[in-house]
Amino acid sequence: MTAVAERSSSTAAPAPVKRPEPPKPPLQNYLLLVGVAAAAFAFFWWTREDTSVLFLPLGFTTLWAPQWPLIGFLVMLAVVAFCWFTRTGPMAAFGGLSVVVLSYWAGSNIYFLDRVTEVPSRLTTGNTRDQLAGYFSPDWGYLLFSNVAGTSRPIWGEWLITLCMAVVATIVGCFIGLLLAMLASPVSSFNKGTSQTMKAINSVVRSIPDVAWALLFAAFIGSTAYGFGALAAVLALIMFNIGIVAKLLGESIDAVNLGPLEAADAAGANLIQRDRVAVLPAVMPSFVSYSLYVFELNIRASAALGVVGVAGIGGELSRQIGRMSQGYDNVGAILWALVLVVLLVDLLSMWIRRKLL
Amino acid sequence: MTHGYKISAALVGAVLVAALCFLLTYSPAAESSDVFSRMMLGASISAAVVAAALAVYGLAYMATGKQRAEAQERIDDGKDGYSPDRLDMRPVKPAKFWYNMALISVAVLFFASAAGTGMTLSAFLEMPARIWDFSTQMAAGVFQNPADEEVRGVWDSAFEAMLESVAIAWVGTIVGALFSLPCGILAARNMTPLAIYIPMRFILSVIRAVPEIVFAVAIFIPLMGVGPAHMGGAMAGAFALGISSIGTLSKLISEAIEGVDAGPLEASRASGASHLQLIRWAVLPQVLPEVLAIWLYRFEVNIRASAILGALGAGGIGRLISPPNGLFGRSPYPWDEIGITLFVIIAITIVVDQISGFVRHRVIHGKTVRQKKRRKNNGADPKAAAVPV
Amino acid sequence: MVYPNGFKGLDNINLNISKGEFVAIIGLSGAGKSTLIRAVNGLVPYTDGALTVGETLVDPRNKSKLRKLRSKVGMIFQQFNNVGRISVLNNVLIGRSAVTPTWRSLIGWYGAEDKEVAFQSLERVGIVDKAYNRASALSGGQQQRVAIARVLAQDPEVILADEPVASLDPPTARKVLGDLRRIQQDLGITCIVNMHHLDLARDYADRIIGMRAGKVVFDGPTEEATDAVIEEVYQRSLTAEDIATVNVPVSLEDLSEDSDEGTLEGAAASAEPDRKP
Repeated sequence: MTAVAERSSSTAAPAPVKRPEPPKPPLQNYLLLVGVAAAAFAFFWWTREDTSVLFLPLGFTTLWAPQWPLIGFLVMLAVVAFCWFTRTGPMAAFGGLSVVVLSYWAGSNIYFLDRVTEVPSRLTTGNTRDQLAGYFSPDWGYLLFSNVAGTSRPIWGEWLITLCMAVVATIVGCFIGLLLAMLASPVSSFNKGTSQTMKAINSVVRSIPDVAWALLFAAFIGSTAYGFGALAAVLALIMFNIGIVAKLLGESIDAVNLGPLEAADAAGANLIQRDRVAVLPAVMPSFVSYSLYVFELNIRASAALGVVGVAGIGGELSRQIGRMSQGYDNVGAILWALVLVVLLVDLLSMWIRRKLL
Repeated sequence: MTHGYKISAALVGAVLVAALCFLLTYSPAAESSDVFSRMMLGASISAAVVAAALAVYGLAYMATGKQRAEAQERIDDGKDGYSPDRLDMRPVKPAKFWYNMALISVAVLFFASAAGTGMTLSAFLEMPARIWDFSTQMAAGVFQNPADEEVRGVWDSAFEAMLESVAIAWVGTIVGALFSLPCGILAARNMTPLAIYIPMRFILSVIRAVPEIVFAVAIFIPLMGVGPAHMGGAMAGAFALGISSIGTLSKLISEAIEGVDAGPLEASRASGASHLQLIRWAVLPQVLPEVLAIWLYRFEVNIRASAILGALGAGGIGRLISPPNGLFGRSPYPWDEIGITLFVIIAITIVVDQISGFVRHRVIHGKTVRQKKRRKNNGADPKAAAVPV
Repeated sequence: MVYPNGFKGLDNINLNISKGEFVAIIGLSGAGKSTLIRAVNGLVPYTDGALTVGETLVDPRNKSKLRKLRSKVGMIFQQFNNVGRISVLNNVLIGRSAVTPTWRSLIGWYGAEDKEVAFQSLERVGIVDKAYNRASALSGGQQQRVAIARVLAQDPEVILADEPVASLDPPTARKVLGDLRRIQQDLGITCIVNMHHLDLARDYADRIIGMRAGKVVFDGPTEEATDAVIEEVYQRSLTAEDIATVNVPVSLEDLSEDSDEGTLEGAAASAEPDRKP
């Protein structure tokens, strides 16, 4: 320390100091990465036949083996080598390697290359091209004046019922979601046990897809003459919304400023009062914002729910898709209208957000 | 406008809405669509209730009107030895008229919509019994002996289909991620001129407007094929997820880029960096952790979405819960198999969530996984407090 | 008083604060001032010893009893801790939580008498004209006045203030502290204030307590707090050695703080401060 100071003060131009090398990542970690790549290669080689099986505790489950294991191995090695020469840290290199391994596995699992190379031939043969062209010449008359096939219900009434379902589900679902988010966040919940339990329930609710919820509720309620009616769809959307709002809002509550909570505590408020006066106002903007987001999601989801036969435009959409070659222009009209409606809702929610917040 | 006028205006408005909606139940539109007529009936009834409530409130307001007028006069004149006491110094509570009206409108809309869906709430009465019945059947399915040949077959096909779903979600995420970075940069206001920004934003919102299942059915199933993986359905699902991912990912990434610290950008510009150099050395290093987190988050979303795609033949576990396989095809509904399938969906989804959540946390916060714990005894942290400020 | 991580926040504190006193606690950051203050209303649970406010023993485990106690012990914070998005009046009404039924808080429909109390507290701190403004729209000094009004709405017997003026500029700090002093004298409230600023402590407090490393190193009326004494509290702590001692676990016997109202006979323990060599 002192030596350096002396030297710089005594000489006008300091002697050239040895410049530091860029830090080299540890070699043994990289050897480990090569080992990982080799293990992946071995696994892929062993399972390269479609008939190969992987023993899982529950039974024999076929893992579709990746194709061309050698090429995959070379790509993995190339990634490791690239990371080594660019002196990437071993963790980042491991991340890159796992992305490659996973993509390789997943890609061959779903026959990525076969399907992509097949696309041009599919475009030239069959009616795929007509179908795609049908989307760009939508039949607007169908959308405005036709009835649902075999009934006297107009198509625009299906749009109306979709919007109605979205409104009801959003309002009910968001309030239940708010309640669950409060119970699930350690900041606002009664105790740790409650919040952990609620978190677990939330993640179960969230991991069941909305179509599965619709099927469950359809069975719970019993079907009507026209598919499943609106109640199953509304309940399914409510569960779907609860999952989303509870997750997103729970994160907002976790991040809330703890000062006002402490002040409410110090004023002798009980837990419910504290949540009401200190937590709720703080998360209100996010709550409104999430509710509007969820409303938008609901309209899109009700198109998906149609496939299981619930009421609304989704049901009509899947009926028209089911007609295959005759329905393209109708499908096109519904899709374009869906895009329009979602865009309008998007604009509306943007406007409300600006007004309120 | 004084409060009294506002009340009367609101009352008149409510009565008008109620009357109009009631009249509309006799319109030709209502005759052709039962949804519309139910909605209008619901709206008119709830608007009438609102009108009645407003009328009661208005009467109460009128009853106290004389007192208020006298008090106002007293204040205005300043006569009779009036001196403002401290009650007069207090501000008058501001009336949140429009806010209240908006809330009331939302309530009316809610009741109208509830009427419009035509839900028969009596169905709730028999629901608990059915839920119990089917849930026990599903639980029995999950807890039956997995060594049994048939049961094992169900587990196997569920796992296989779920792994296919995970593969679909992964490929979809990768496709979305590859395209989302350039699209996100092109859709960030501080990176692109308005002429590119506006069409880019529009395209992204159109993409976001279309549900992934529609992409799958309408575009990719014709292009790639339908059914399980080897028939091409999985690939259709993956591309559908990929395209919809582009919409949301690009939007989130562009927001992240717009929120970037402007200082380094200015510094690079000042030292003569080209636009690409600017993006590579000033923007990417700042947003990369956030972008990685966004990609991983989308992977979690895609797992959930891919679990449905199979219901329409786009590969994955959805085909096991789709109607052709269960609800319509076979009777009775195979609840034990559905139970196993749902269990597999839930289990794998949660496991993937946990892994992805861990990686996300690691990417954003680095190695300090235990940060949360330390933050808890905030004001009392000895090490932080020991340093004199 | 031991934290879960084994750190001793307070050590061998023996204090007796009588009713109506305005006590300033001074010391460096990390000396245990905040911990001491937060122990009084149970925000930080103490581990050993006994602490009574009036006749009530502070029992961190008994939640409902603690709530009852907190309704009589108001607290002011450095960061004001107002809820920014609601009106000033609603912020003050938070102070009425302990006497308001839960359902009333839940739908935000407070009784007329609660509102009257809230308005009176706002009048006392002089910002009644801002009653319906958003709390976040006020300046720092006004926000701290809102916090004082919230505490006054509790009708407290003791006010604890944790660095109440540390985030205010000096003139505002003096005004706010002057208000607090005036109100405290008007209503005969016991006031315990944490402070960084020595001059403010000397100007406003009846009694000064100096703390270092979780121990009381000075306790006496303001006049006795000469520069030499203060230096003992402050100066020596500034060396690296003293900072290091904060992390060294020291033996802990007892924490007791008696805030007996008027009567001092509860103080069998000496009011003599523990002076450390």
